Formats: sequence, structure tokens, C-alpha cells
Amino acid sequence: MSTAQHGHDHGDAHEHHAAPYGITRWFFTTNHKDIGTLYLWFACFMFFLGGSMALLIRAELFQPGLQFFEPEFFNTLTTVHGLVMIFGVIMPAFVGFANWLVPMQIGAADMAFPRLNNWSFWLLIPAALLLIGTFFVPGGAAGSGWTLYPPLVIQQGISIDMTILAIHLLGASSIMGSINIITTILNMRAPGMTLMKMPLFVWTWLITAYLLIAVMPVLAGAVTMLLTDRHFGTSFFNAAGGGDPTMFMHIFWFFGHPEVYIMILPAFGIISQVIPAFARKPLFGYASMVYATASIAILSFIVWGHHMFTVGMPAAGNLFFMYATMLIAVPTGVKIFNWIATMWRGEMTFETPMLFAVGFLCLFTIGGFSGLVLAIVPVDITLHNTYYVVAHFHYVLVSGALFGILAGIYFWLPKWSGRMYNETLGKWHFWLSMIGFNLTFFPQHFLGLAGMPRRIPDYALQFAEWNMWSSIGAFVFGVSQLLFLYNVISTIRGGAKAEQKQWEGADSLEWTHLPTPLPYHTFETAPVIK
Amino acid sequence: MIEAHKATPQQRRRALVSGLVLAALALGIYLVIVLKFYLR
Repeated sequence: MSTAQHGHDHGDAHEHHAAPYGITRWFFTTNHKDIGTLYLWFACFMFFLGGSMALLIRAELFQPGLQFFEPEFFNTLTTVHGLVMIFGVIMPAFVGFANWLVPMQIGAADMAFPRLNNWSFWLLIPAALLLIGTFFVPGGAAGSGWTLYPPLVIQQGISIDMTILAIHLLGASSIMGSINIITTILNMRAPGMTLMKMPLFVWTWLITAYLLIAVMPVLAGAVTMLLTDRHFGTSFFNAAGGGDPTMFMHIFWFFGHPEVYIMILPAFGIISQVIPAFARKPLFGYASMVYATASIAILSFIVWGHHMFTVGMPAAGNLFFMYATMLIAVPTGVKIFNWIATMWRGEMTFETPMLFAVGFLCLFTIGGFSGLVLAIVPVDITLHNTYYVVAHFHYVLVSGALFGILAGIYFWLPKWSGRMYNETLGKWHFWLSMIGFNLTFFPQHFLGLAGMPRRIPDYALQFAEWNMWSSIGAFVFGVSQLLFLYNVISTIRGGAKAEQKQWEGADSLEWTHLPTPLPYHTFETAPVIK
Repeated sequence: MIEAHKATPQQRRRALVSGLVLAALALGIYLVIVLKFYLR
């Protein structure tokens, strides 16, 4: 990684860097760190909200029969849980990381468009209120699943309109954030910071931001057409009027599959920085990591049909999407290989960020393999809409994206807050999460293979035992996240003082060139990268 | 309070151009998707 000459002494700078204070600081802030903090706390709040819904789902599924909820309400829980976790947790959390880290890692003073950055965040609040507000309107929240397939969504109540408006706002926020990130990376780099010297996190976000700009307008277009089908007499997707519901699926998944990579590529970036730091070795195959990330992003545009093997596409179409999907395993395998090669003969230590990174590596690989299983057309036709699919995407999005986020928070919290978290609590959090997560989702492979369908509040008796274990695991996982929340809050309020370079092997600019705690304004003079 | 270093005029000009091009790209994709169906 790059080294840099620093043009300014930060030794006595702390006193001069007092941040504005009071509520207006947060409303009107254009500071990338403040906005990053807002994004991360927003994601944290939504995580506990969406997590609570998950626990309600698992409570209902603890044993067969209807325990607590009517089936309609159960459907709304699964739908809003999915929407909240995707649009309210994973995506905002990664934008929070981008805000905190991108300017610091490329030697920029701030984002290219700071006011746009502020607006991008504050659009999330009305979107979240609309989404959560759907529970309190006549007819209840959307119960269609997060995919919002017609004709169901054409028939439901006002909650669908609120959800569509929320998605438009979230999409606008994501697009503005992505424009900001791309512009910052391409134009605001410090002298000498060439593209191939950028930390992997910046690279993964650059590619993710392009993906977002390419596919969020597609989703926006699809939900706009849903809205006009509902209220303005069009029949794009309404078969009763001559429309084609399958067309919605094609458009939705043209967005939806790249969206999966939008949620995982920044995690790849975080892991690519955590593993070298704790292996005390440079990342193995930096250039191949960049090309693999770009390859995954490009391939993500030509695999959407694997979500639709059961709709009756031509055999040639099914075969194309099957092979294209399998092709993604190649660049993903390059990444897994490089991370393992980075650890090979490294002087590894296993602090909490590294534990989450290794956990990510093991479990995300399981999610990748079950994805390969589902890529096989005849197998997918059997397993479609079973719990095997639920197990697969939770291995990708929880032990992939979420573990990446947790690794990143533990890794950078000492730099962000100036204080060191409690390592013992961190390790408890990791191991309880690891046990709880696997107990929740591994049995769901068995349930799916045995034929248990997803999105149902009741099930046949033969599924009872694994469901019980899955629900117990979910509560272990859920409760262990409270340890994380306590650890973060107690760290910020009064943890031990962190060092400038808390992690011996960390080598990006925020560790090598900036004091701990970070000054309010990042670089008073632009660093020069050798 | 000490200020952060400012972007150079060239950086700002390039940032503006990049931002506008990307915004036009996003808007263009949205319009293509929607108009493809509305004009059918």
C-alpha cells in the first residue's frame, strides 16, 4: 500500500478542531464524519427494528400451528423485515462507512458535494417513517414479500403506495450518495494517490456506486409503473388489463441481483483491509482483487434470470442464466483465495475484527456454495421458494454483509471514537453471533431440502424440530447484538484511550497520517503520496 | 476553528462535470425504462 509525506503537524491540533455542537450540527452538517455517524446510527436503529421483526417471525415459527399472529400479519412481517434490512440497514451502513473512510483513505478534505451528502442522509428519515408507518394504516403493511410482485401489490391497500414512495426516496438517496462517492474518488484524491494505490475499500465502493447508479433507476422505473397500474389506469403488469406480471419480475431482478452485490462488495472491501492488518502482511493479489470486484459487478447484470427459473423461460434462457451464474464463482473464488493467501504464514492475531473477518470468510463461502447449488436449474426448480433459499441468502447477507459491517465497526471504532472497545465483550459478541447465526440458518438448509416453503406462518409436523432449533438460534443471535450495542455505547462514552495506530498492520492513510481521535476536519493540507 | 484544505478550482470544476454526467446517466436510465413501456 502507499506511503505518504504529511504536510502538517497534528500534534497540537485537537484544541483547534472543536466541532459545532447542538442539534443543528446534525441537521445542517456537511462534514463527512458527522454524516457517516448519522448513517451508522440510522442503520443501527433500523437493525434492531428489523431484527425485532425477525424475532417475531421466529417466535411464530417456534412450533407448528398459529401461535401469535394472523397469516396476513405474518406476511407483512417478512416483507417489511426484508425491506428494512436491505434498504434501512445494510445499504445505509455501508454508505456510513463510505462517508467516514473514503475521504480519509484518498487524502481528500471531504466529499465532493457536502450539501448533497447531507440531503442524501436526511431523505432516509421520511422514507423510513413511510415504511414503518405502513403498519398503522388500514389494511396493514405490504404483505407481498420485498420483491413487490404484481398482481398482489396491485390489489393491496395504501401501504403499497407508501412503500413505493419510500423506495423512490431511498433510491434517490442512494443515487445522490453514489454520485458523490464516484465524484469524490475520481476527482478529490491527494497528489500521488493513483487509482491502483487506493485501499480496496475505496475500490469496492467505487464499483458499488456505479452499480447503484445503473440499477436504482431501474427499480424506480418498475415501481413507478406499479404506481400507475394501481392508480392511473395503465396495465403494464396487470394481467387483467393485458399486462405481464412476468415482465415486472424481469425488471425487478435486473435491479435485484446487482443489488445483492451492492450489499456485499463493500463488505469485501472491509475484509480486504481487516485481514492484512491482522495477518501483518500486505494483501495478496491487490490488482487481481480489483479486477475480480469489477468482474463480479459486470457479471451481476447478466444473471438475473436465475431468480426466475420456475416462471417458464425457454430452456436456452435457463441454461444461459445457469452458466452465467456459475461464472461468478470464478472472481469470487479469486477473492477467497487471495484472503487465504494473505493469511498464509502471516503473524496472525485474532482480535474481534479479525474474528468477524474469518467468520465472514467461512460462512460467506457456505452461502456462495449454496448459491451454486441453486444456480443449477433442475435443483432450483425443486428448491425454489423453500427454506433452502432463505438459508442461502442469509448466509450471504448476514454472515457476509453484516459480519463485514461488524468487522469494520470493531476495526475502525478506535479511530472514529478515539477509544478502544472492550475486547472481551467483542469476543463474546462474535462467538454468540457465530453460534446463534449457524443455529438459526444452517437447519434451514435441511428444512428447505425437506420441502418446507418460505413465507408461511404454519407448517407440517415433520418440520417442527429444526424450526425449534432455528428459533432458539435466532434469539441467541438477537440477544448477542445487545452486547454489541452496549460495547459500542460504553466505548464511545468512556472506553480506554486508543492509539493513533491501534492495529499494528493497518496501513491506510487514516491510520498512518491522522491522529486519534480524528480532528473535525480531516486533512488541513493535502497529503502527498509517494 | 481551523478549516480543512479546499479543493482546487480544477478539482471543483471536474467534480461538477462528473456529478452532472452521473446524474444525467441515472435520469437517462430511469427515463429509458419508463418511456420504453409508456410509449409502447
